Amino acid sequence: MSVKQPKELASYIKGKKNVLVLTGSLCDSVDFGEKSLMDYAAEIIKKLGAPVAATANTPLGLKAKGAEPGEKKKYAAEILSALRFPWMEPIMPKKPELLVFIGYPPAVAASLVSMVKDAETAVLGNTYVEQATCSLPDASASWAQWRQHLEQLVEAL
Amino acid sequence: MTKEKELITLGRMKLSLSQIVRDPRGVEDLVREAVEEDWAEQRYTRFDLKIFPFPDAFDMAEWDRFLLDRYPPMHTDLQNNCSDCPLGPCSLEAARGKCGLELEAYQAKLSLRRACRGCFSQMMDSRDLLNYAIKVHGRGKEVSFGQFVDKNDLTSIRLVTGLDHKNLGDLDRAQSYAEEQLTKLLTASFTGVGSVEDFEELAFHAGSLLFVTQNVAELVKVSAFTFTNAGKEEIAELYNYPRANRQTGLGSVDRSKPVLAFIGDSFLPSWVALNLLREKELHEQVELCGIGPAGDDSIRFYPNFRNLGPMLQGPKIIRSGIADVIVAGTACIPLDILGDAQRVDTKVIWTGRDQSLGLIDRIDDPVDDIVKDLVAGAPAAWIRDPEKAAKVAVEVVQQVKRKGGYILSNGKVKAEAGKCRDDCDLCFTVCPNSLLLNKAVKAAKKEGTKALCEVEKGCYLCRKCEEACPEKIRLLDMLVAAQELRAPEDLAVMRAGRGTGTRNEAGAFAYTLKQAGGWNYVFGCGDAHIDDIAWIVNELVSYNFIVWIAGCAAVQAARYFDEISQKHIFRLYPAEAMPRNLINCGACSATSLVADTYLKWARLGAYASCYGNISESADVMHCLWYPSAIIWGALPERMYTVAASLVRLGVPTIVGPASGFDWKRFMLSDRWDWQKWWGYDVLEHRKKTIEPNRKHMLIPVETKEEALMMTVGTAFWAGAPAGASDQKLEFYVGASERFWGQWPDDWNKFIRSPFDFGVRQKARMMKRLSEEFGWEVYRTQVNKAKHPDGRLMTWAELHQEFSASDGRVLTMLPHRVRKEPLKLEGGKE
Repeated sequence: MSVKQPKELASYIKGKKNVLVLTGSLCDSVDFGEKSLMDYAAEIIKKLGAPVAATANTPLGLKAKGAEPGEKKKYAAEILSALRFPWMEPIMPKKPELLVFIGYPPAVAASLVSMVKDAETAVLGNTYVEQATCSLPDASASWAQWRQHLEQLVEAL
Repeated sequence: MTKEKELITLGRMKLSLSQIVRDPRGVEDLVREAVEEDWAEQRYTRFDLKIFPFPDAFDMAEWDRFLLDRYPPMHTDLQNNCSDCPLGPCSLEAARGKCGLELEAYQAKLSLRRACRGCFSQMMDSRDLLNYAIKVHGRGKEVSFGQFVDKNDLTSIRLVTGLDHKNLGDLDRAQSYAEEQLTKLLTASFTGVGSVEDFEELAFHAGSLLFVTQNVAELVKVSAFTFTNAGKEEIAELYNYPRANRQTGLGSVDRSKPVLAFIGDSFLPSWVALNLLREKELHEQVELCGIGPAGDDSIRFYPNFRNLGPMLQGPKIIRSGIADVIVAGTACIPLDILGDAQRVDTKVIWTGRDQSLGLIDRIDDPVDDIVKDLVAGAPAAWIRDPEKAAKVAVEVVQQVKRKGGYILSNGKVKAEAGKCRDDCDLCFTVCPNSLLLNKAVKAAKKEGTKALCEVEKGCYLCRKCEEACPEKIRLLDMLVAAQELRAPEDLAVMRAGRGTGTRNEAGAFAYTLKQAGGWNYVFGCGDAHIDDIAWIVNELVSYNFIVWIAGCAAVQAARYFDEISQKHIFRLYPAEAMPRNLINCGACSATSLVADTYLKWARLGAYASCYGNISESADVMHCLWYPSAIIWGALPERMYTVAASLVRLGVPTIVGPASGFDWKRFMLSDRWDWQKWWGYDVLEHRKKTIEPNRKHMLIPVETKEEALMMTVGTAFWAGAPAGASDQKLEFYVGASERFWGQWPDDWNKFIRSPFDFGVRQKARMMKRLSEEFGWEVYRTQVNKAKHPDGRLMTWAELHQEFSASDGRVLTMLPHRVRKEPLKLEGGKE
């Protein structure tokens, strides 16, 4: 619903108590050159100290980047479905207040955040996702811009 | 109606029609035949049995509501505004619409609309095929799946309508029912007002109708044409039936010959063309090829027919210029066949009866005139008659001359790539499969075409990248050039579809269910990476799954090549319903046969009648057996409807990768709340706690590894006898560790007896049960297991209170519980 500049988004995320990070398939495939999306995902996770639902094939990559402990192999749709019910998903004791999505293709991210009930969502992709509570500014034309956003976000966390 | 006419004989009993059917008028003979031929007297005395001939959707409400309660629909990407009627538009976000419709219900209504759309092209194809067969053979022509599939074998037609299909006239009746019902559903999808559950039940029903009409098509194919048919083969022959000798892929085509390709749902033009060529003894001189269902079907009657690929790969294959002439018809997805074909001088003969593609209708023109025009340079002709279309195609393909040189050279690819800006990645962003085209194009500046080969395998030419490219780079032509580069090696062998499964095979599963990893279906249409399905299928089969495949997924599965044995997958594994076997049933319409085979067991194993009895059969199978389905590359709406049908039959369905998330309605359970997992013990009248399985009914996943593991995770079932889960559990934890370095989060929930531990993982499982889950374990023995409510108990106590591992039969429907509790020895209930 809104675009937040990276620093603004970082303070928004830091202001939330129960944050759950979800890492998707692009973390394994997007490589900016010096750093990969997995690097940024791991850095964000370490800085936030939040539990991680490692979806797609991301658990091993996160582990290799030292993002443990806490990351658990999960299926994205399962986590979001669990929000519909009294919270019993063991990944975290309380229902998350904010879900942070990293590494999902735009259409998949849009579908996933639209499943979320009674929680806010932040998408750290390269496009603005209308269905999310907030996302990074649009960087659809250039990975360099996307990378810059991620750098700024990590720095501000 | 006379009293005598109202009575039906069932063993020693005389039943009144009105006892077993709500309104017998018009279906008396059908009901009498079904009951007298298929019901068991003892079963009737013990259980509350009914028959539902030609049902409306809501006749299955009890079962459908169970599914919708345990797996409540989750709608995504909500549409807030409804403009379906003149009263609107209405914004449903804050209030009900003027008709009273609520926001969530509107999403379900859209789901129903989508399920209806998924039926259309198949319904049309079946009707055309049936009308053609009636025209040629008459309504009295007998139809049958063969001598090994008799009237006590379940088929989707029998299951849904209650009708025994003996001839083409009966098929006409079944098809008419499906068409009439679909009209009702479509009407409801626009004018209906109701709840989420109402609309989703109707969507399920659309799935059932799809299977009916698919059955009609398959019965016509094996009865009126010479299609391969396992139903008439001895069981001893099935392990290698039909032989794995059909060549597939672009590399299978001899381009020195005239190439005639067929694309679309209908095989009729290729059937007629083959016969014409045979009459002239020219069939060896022309390469006959197919894309999509036309290819899947045609290899069932002509071994030298080349199956080039799935429907969604059609544009890429056409733009390779491989075909001199294409005969195209209506299919599951609209493609720009004319536009793509004109780029490579391929002549198009359009046979669709529902659309013109902007062409002039030439159905009444003489064949010679049409041939002359096409050879002289006309790009296409519209001929609605498949026989005439085939005649024209056969003539044109022998006469037409094309100039060639349609593929971009390596130099031109480099030149096109040279236009790419270093700071632009738009093509990646817009790609629905998130292919790294941006990186590949940049690499192609130096490396040329070969740099595009990997991304090409994940591309189905949706054109979004080219539309978005600010430099107007010819990305599609570059991708086609990459396809052409690998074309010589794009060669595999496969089995043609065999048609139905047989009762003997379904029965044999009683002996192999402990050894089998699972009973799995794989479907797909070609919008994912071309090697994904081959990988998934090989993983499943090599781990003892019985894998059934139908539609365009088969030609993609065929690509798997085993380096050790130097064999393609269809030669690597046998083809009967046994563990470690791979069975191809045929084109899309054979999807219904795949489901029929599994459901036969409800009749065989539990004596549930296979006539007009969806709810009971689905309930029996949901509790007794454990199939699951993967729909990989899920773009066409037909697959949405296939999934609706499978879900109604209690089959968990996994969709992906990216296009699966666009389905907008999923059905996941609350698997962490143990109190929501129960079943009725059929014999003891008790409600029992069970493990959380089948844990989801319809779930999207991101990767092929997730698809595989979710499949295994849904392959546990409460009715499994003790020890039937050990192999599955071992695979479940082992493969999860291989892919993700950790065990699944729910593996412990499927251990119900000391026999459920896989040998290789037993020690580790014991340790973790003790340390992480609080079980009382001494060395490799469990002293106290944990009930889901937290109580520690012995195995014997757990048997009494939890699940059904001691062979007890469960049901999810209260009315299916035995009328009187079973008296055990000593008079104890």
